[in-house]
Amino acid sequence: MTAAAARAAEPLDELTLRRAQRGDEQAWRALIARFQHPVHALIWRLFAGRARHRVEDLVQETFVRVLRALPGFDPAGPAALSTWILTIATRLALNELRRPEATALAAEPAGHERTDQAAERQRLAAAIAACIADLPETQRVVLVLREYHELDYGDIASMLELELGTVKSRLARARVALRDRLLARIPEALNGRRGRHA
Amino acid sequence: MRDDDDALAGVDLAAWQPPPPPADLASAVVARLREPTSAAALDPHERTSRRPRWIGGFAAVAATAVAAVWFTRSPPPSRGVQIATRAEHLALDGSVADLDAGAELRWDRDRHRITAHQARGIVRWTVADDDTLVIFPGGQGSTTTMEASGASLRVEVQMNLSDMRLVGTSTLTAATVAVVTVVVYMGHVKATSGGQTVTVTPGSTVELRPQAPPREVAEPRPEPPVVGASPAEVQRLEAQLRTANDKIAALTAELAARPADAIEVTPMALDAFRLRGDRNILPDEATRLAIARAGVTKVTGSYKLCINTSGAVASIRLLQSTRFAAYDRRIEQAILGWTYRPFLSEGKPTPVCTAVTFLYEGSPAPAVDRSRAAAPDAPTVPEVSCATVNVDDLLTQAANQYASGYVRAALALVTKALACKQDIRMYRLAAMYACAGRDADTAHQMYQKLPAQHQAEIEQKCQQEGINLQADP
Repeated sequence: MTAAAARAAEPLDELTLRRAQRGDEQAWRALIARFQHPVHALIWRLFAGRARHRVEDLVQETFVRVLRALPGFDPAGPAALSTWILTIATRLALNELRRPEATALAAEPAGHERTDQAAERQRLAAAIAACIADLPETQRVVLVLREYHELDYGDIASMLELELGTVKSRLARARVALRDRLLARIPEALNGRRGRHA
Repeated sequence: MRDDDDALAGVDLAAWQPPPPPADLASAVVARLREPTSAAALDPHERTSRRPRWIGGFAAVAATAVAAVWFTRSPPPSRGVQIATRAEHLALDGSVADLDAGAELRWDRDRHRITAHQARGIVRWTVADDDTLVIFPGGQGSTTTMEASGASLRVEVQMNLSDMRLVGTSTLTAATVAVVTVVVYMGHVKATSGGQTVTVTPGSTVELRPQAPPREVAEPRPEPPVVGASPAEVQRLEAQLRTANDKIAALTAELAARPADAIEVTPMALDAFRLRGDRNILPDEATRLAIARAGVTKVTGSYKLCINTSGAVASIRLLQSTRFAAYDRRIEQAILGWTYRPFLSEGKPTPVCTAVTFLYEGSPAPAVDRSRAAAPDAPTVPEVSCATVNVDDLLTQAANQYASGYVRAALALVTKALACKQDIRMYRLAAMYACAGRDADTAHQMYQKLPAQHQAEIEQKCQQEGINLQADP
């Protein structure tokens, strides 16, 4: 693990959070370092096949809003800080995705036709990206939040202001749809091991 | 309704990974936050549905009106001297100066005009839109100036070594030998030297020398500029300068620690002037564990704290260490965040000093049966008195650990919280983290404590990790 990654993996302690709430720049930087990876990963995945040039702007905008709203965040409240931040990121991304110019599809880089394992994985990654991009937005967002960010159903429901049952049914439909699309592109896609990473 | 997670069984979803986040994201965000805020600041909880635009318009008008009232108020006059023995943050009523260790600064605010004499060192300035900052680098007698408004810039004041060799160490001539490097991040800055003024644009770096016009350079120069000296001579002078700087820093720290005109007051007397700052400073998890392992139940640390006439913490001196360096540092950092109203003596703001003492009470770690010692990476749960445990804090930390992929650490934190408080939410979290960490025993244990409506979710989570909760533990 690199030093930067190790720092990023450290939890945000209460003192740093309180300093960040008071506007301490070092604490702001610590908070950003801690959450930039999941926030960037979330927005990047929600923009699968879309206007990726907006991702960096949205990541930046997410943290600007997070830090402006941070004094009002209650650490003892119902949402964990990470969930609260991802909620802001999700809502920003969804609003942006609903703008007409964001819907223009961009091709996901395809894997090279080589036989080695890395090339196969790259091909699978491109296929997953294309298939997730192909899902309806309502399914794509719950799938990404659950599969890649491991948020529980209750958190997803409150983030998206949905009923718990709706989250579950959308997720079930998204999984089936993703599986079918993947099989159509790469029949051997189901042979890989299961893994999740934010 | 239960969803069917098996649809994607066997799919290596982790194959699809994002690139790393943009470099220097934090600086970009901080720069934006230091910009004057828009009157119509957006709601961070903005719903995904469109809200009527008139609400936003109304909010903008209202906020603009509030801002207009606010901006018509001038900040009160203030002045001060800051000699940074470590990195320091200086709030100047809207504008901000961040000083690196070794920087020396004297400032004077008159309404919206701030005059700063930056004698030496590096200072990052963020100048509010309605403020005008005039910097005289090198201190009194400087013919080099910078003027900024609504800008973000970095100013580095160095001594020109070859000139210094000629003039010795006389501070009277410091201004005439200062070499200044200005980097502008945002806004425009006017820089004057050698009788010539230029406007420095964002992204540009300009070097200012006495009697010479401003000169744009490609990048900030990492090394002190040296004119007319051999490399060996430069190295020798640099070594001398480093030694001199170390001495100055030590003397400065000593002076700062015992201000000549400060009066001693009791902690209670000073506390009456406190505006903000955490007094309940607890050691971090690692230190708590170290304290528990050392078999110590009480940890005491004392500090001498001095407040300047503005109410800011001028110095901290360690009187008695807690014997845990991380805890000492944590306390010192927290004290630096304390702010006070100016202490009044005979109606006048007066610098004061007092001694503050911190007491942390924990519990010694339970004896460990080494024959059953856990694996090195297994979560270790120190036995800590519930009186000092903040359950919500632990849960937040656990969620952070879990989000970072450290499920065992998350489980350890929730287990610790469970020792002090038990409810369904916590059992649910513990079960979920246990499943994710493939700790079947704990998962079974927590699962049994959950009501039926919460069990299905945990069953599913455990199934993903190959744990069957329906089977006997």
